[in-house]
Amino acid sequence: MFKSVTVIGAGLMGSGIAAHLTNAGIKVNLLDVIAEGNDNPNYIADSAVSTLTKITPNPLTLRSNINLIQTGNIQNDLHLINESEWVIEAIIEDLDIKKQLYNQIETIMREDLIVSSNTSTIPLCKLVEGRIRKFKRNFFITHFFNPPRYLKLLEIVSSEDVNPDFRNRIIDFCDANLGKSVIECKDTPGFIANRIAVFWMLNAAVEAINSNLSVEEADQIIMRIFNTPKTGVFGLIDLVGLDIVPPVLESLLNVLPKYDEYHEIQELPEIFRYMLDQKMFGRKSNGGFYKLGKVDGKNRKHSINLNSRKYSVSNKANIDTLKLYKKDINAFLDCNDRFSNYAWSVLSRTLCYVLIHAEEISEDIITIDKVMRDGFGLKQGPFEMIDTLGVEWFKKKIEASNKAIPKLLNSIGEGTFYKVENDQYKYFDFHKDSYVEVKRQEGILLLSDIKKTKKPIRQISTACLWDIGDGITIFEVRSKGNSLDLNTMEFLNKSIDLVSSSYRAMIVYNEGEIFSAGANLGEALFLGNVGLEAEVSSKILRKGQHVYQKLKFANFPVVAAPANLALGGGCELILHSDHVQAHIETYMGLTEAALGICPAWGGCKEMLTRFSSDKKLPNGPMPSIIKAFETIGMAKTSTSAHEAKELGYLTDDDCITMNRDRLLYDAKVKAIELIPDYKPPKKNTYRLPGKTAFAAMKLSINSMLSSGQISSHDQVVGEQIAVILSGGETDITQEVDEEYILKLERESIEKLYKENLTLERLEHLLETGKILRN
Amino acid sequence: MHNAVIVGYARTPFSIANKGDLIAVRPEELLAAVINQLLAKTQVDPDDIEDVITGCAFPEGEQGFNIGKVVTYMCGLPETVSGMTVNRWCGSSMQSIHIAAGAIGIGSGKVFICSGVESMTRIPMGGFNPMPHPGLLDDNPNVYLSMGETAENVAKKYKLSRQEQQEFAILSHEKAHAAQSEEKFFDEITPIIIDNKTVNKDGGIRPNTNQEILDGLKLAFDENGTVTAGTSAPLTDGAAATLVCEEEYARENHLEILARIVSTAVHGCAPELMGLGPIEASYKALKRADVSCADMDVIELNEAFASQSLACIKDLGFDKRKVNLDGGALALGHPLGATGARITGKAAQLLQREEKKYALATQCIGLGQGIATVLEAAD
Repeated sequence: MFKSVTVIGAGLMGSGIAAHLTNAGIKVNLLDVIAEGNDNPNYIADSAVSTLTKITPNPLTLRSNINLIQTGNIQNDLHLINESEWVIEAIIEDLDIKKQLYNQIETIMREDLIVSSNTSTIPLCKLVEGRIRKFKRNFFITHFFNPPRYLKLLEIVSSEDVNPDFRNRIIDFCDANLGKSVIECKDTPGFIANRIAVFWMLNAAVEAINSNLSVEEADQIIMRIFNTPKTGVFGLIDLVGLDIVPPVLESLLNVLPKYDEYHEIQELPEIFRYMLDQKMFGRKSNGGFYKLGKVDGKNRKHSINLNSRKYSVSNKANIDTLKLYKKDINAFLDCNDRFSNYAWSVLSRTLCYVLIHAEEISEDIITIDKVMRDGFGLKQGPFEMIDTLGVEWFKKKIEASNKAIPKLLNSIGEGTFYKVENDQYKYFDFHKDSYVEVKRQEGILLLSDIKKTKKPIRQISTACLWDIGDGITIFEVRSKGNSLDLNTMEFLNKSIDLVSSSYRAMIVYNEGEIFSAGANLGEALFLGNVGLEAEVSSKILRKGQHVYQKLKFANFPVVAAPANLALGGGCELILHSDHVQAHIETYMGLTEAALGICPAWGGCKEMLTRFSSDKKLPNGPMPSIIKAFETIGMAKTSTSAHEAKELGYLTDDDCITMNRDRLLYDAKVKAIELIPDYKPPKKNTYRLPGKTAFAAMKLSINSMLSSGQISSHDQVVGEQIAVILSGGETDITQEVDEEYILKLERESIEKLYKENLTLERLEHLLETGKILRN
Repeated sequence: MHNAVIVGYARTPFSIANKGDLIAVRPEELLAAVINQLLAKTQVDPDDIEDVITGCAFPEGEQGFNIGKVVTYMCGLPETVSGMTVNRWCGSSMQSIHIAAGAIGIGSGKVFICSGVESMTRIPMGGFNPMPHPGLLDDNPNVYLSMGETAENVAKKYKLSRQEQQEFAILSHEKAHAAQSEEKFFDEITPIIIDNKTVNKDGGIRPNTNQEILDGLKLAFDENGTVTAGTSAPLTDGAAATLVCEEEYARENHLEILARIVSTAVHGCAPELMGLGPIEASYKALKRADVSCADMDVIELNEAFASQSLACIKDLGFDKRKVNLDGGALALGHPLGATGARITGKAAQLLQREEKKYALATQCIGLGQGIATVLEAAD
């Protein structure tokens, strides 16, 4: 664990790396050059820090992290590097300028100061050329990806000269503390990620222009074929910045041999040149292939016409064949229209490039797949994609295109790159020309690996119960959006019984895109629409409350291990656990109020419970109620696990895992720790002020209404939440129990559920996925 | 009956709550600092002090435990000095002066420290445990109306435009800035030292504010209204204190008399128009002093909101040139419990500085009240 790191270069990457270091609690010195003509010598670094609070997506897990950054300038403050354990150079990609800086560092650096460069293109051998032994021994390339908080990949390149202890320290720290998926790369041009991705990106863009596709059409196809995040190709260029494309390409072309397929990429397209001249670099400038523009006073996404170069309002591409073959990608690629031809062209070129160069750039295929998943958000890496497409199908289609089949593809014969054999998950090792078991590092445990070799204890279509050894089970939800319906609740109910009798602990965990979107609102809405409102209460509400209470008071420890979104009923599931091991990127919230309802699976009850024992709040009956009211009434959702602690969704005792791959392992360790002498929690009692507390909250609601901060339906919803949190008709002299609060939750949501404006909100969410303000 | 006179006045710098220089300072420390300054300035014999009367609008948390007595220990006053906390919301510390004047009048003491304090950073507006009466709220919701909404009501009743209110706010900032630049606050501000940093200036004064800047602010209380944060006194941290004694005692002990307290008044009004409270309270006090508005040379009118200030100025027929010579709460801030002592002490000080005869200090109070004090320069 490092305590202090110096980052030199306060550009987009440098400041982003600095921000992410603070997310791990590290003190950072951020240095840049002195700005000419400015009285403040630290102006550049100071400006970068102030920008950090305005960037989307937010580079900081907590705004206050910024206080850990100390700014300075290279000319006056370079000595600060020796107050750190690691210095990261993230300055301009210019070898001469980097060398000048290294000259200065080399002169003053401590013996054990680790130095690294964030270069994405310059080989390590060139960076250390002519440097003294101490520098070479301490020097690495640590290539972060933008944005550093969110993209897991970190490429590390080291030479034979480096101190192995230093290398281990860097790898361990980046893995456990920064949450990085650390890949050790060979010192080859563009390492692994850029070597493949730049090839892929340029091919996808050039081919789209040649095929006369719109940016939306190309992006939609790329998103579907490569299973990328919502950027596609042009969106991705906007994200990384068009301005970095020419220097990266040039640096690759300069060092790659003439036979490399990179040299087949002709001149950059004319529109690229035009946009570079106009400084239309993407998100970092005032737009790129996409930009925001005003229409009737509202921001709307616009896209550029690749021919006319004019912007117009961006509309979703309408590709019939892609819709027709939504679930059969092979059929789409075979349908031979201009869209599928484009898709095949980009896909085949990219996958063949990877197949041809895999051995040159990597030690194994797993690493390449991991790099593409973790660096670019692809759901599958290239080799996994080939397995999914079907090796035979892929070969035949290449042959049909009159292209040579890459040697590596032939090496596996009629097999696949990955397979399960003798209960072992194996990959094709091109060095050994045989299959070898996929082994994870210590501390990494993945449900996806377990699923490849094991069968669940029990399962239904929306949920599974897994045995992961040591008496520990996993309750996994796997429905759409991991929403929780009646069947899933009943499954959890029975799973609790089973774990209670035959196992020792339960971890609530899944590896879906999100932890849980909450209750299945479609189910509730359906019952309402067919005149069965009473069923909502008697079945959905009571069942949810009953099962969550049963989970809370079960005779075994329950550890929730959320990552990404955990909303509404999903958040309430976490609140009823004994312990939470949350991934840092956990976005929790009781968001029911935004939908015109209120938390009613015990969410209000649990928030009251935790705030009433929060010693940081002032004394008296109201502070805990007001805090719960603000959190639930405003449907506050955390932007990180750190913020979830501030909002009270996580307690001080709950733990945070930085590396997503380590989450399940950490949760299991915690479960094992809790098992000995485990006793269920005691039931809480409450003394609530009743109507007077309601009156206080009503005043606050009224003020917000009159100032236009909330709508009149928000007022109705807010008042129902206030009824629950105040304790309804109770008085401060009376003691009420958890069941009493649960009853208030049910009564309030039943009232709200009869409101037309609430039903409108629910329907709108289900139809559009968006929140309606009415 | 004995006359009561004001012989000293001190206050802390007023600082914007939640982000200003005084957020880390406990209210007892702010109060102790001004009382110590007052004692040093006046050289009054502490053994003669009957009572420390402290106004505070939300006397709980750090402002609880009867802060009026707590602070006597912090200031090293003899144990024989009593202390009390008085709550008349925004009028609390003016009320503390009234209590002292009444006590002196009937011979129940000769020397009183009349003070007020509010850390709106550390104890929120409304307190930590707001628990309004639910039945009363149903029967008469106006009782618990937010102050901002009452300001909107006044603006509507008097047809005061947003620009008109902003003009008044701009003028307040200009006067306060001029006074600050000319060191006119030097005699009243007690510097507060925090971690080797001295805070000796009010933090809310914005000399460069203008109509364009204020036009950019969102409406704070009514989406169809006219009142913004720029035309409302900001939440503020601060403390103020006056030394009030029997006139004979002051003369015998050679204390510098700033002003004689001639009359006092409080008056209730409609809670939804609480900003108009100063009108009837002032008329009542003026009548008791047998003087008229026109006789007033110096007027300290608390600027809780620009709208209510303009309405009071209009109805009371004040000459605007006599109102808040060194700026008002829109620029300086309004630490609820401290404001009454500030404006009454300031009015007394201004009578000396401007060499005038009569002064009026008045302010509005939430829930529907006004409070006023008429002062006269001593011979």
